[in-house]
Amino acid sequence: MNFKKQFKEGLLTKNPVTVQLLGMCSTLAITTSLFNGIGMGLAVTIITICSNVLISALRKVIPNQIRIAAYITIIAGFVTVVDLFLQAYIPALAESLGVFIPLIVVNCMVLGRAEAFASKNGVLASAVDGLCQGIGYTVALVIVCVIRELLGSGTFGGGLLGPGGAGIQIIPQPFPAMQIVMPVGGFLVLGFVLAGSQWLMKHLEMKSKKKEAAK
Amino acid sequence: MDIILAIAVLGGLGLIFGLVLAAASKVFYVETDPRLDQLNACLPGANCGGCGYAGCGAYAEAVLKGEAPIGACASGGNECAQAMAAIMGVKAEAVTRKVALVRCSGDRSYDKDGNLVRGSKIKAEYEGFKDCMAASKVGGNGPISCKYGCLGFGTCTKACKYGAISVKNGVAVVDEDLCVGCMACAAACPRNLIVPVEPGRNVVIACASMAKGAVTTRGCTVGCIGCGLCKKICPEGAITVTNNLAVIDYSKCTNCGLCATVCPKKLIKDSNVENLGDPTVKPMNNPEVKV
Repeated sequence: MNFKKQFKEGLLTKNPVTVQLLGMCSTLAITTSLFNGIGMGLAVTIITICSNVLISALRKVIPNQIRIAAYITIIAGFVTVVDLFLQAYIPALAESLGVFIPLIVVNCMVLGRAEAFASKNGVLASAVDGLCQGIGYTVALVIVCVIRELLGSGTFGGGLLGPGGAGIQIIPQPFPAMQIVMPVGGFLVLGFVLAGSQWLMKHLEMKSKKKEAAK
Repeated sequence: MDIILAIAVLGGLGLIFGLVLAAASKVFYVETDPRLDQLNACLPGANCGGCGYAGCGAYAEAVLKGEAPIGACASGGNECAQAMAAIMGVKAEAVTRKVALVRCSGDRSYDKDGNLVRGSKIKAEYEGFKDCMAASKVGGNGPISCKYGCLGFGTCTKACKYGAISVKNGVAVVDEDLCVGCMACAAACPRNLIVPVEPGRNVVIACASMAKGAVTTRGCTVGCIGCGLCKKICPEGAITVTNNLAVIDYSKCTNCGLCATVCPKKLIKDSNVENLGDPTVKPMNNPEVKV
């Protein structure tokens, strides 16, 4: 397995959010501040790596018929550990993400990687796959977060930067559009981010084709 | 063989993760205020929402933070309030138990020929979705003539988590033994007919009609016409008539029952569940009954 190829797939060409459209629930729900995006992204990344590693290690032991039940058991175990960890050490994040932390159990991306990759590949490759997909998920989340936060609340880095962690005010108060922080804004911004990533992929493809033609 | 393997794998995974989680819950243990569990233990746990919070847990948290008053739990009553006050180290006033009262006496009874002899008149047969909110929107204030009366489609029955309210002869009736006073039914009633009263109250005015006497009489045989006879006879001055409707001030009422003897419509009663079990009474929407 090729680390560079896996990284590119996770980040762009097979990005779990913008290409596979997996884990939309959390993507739409929690992307209202940078802090949420990074926190959720890291939590999902860690869980994907851990579950990928364990599932690929056990892939020859788990009978095919009960694999989904086994995967869910493994994923749920890790999610609960992460949930407990966040509640103990980062209560602000645990409160802000709320029910969406336990809901990572049914995040299609985690189960999707278990089914599509970890059940067919070795431990190391699966760990790398989990990391790359997790980074792709985090990056996509952060992009949506930054746009929604900027347009919706007029701030940057909510929960992390600025006075009292409220974020740095960039657009002054009466101008930000509250709707962008609402569900409708989530759909709109996500749509534009999907379009942007499609454009970027096409653009890179054309570039590489031109390069080949020049050769 | 496969079955054994499947059981072994899933069971093994379950066991391993059980141990991991047990360890994690110890390592990442979050100290919570021990009073929260105690408060939760006091509350009935029915999550009826009568206190205005999402459930018993949310109410306990609000009490702990000092945001909610002790004694807002109608279902737990005085016992619950005193127990919670003891935990929080404050003194709670005695909470009197309240039960719901449906302010409508228009339950219908019919004679042998199916003619209405008592109760609110039905002006049209409603055949839509069996829900008071839906029924109240059609045909100019719903299918019954009185625009204040109980519609009898049991929206309150569905809202009650204790099975304490049921529709009898076209009007909702509260079982005072089962009612805990959470008033979820009151919130569900589109006509705001249900109010809290102290249980065992002898005298209740079970009518909410604010229409003029003549209009009320046209729509119902037991509607309050605002004649004021009860007001005149009341020795305590506890009854007032506003908007053609008599209202009892229970802080003055002594339960003497004089008002009930003079009411020409016989709607001031010893108990709002009178007249039940009458064999001539037929339920609303009975296809055999012509109104």
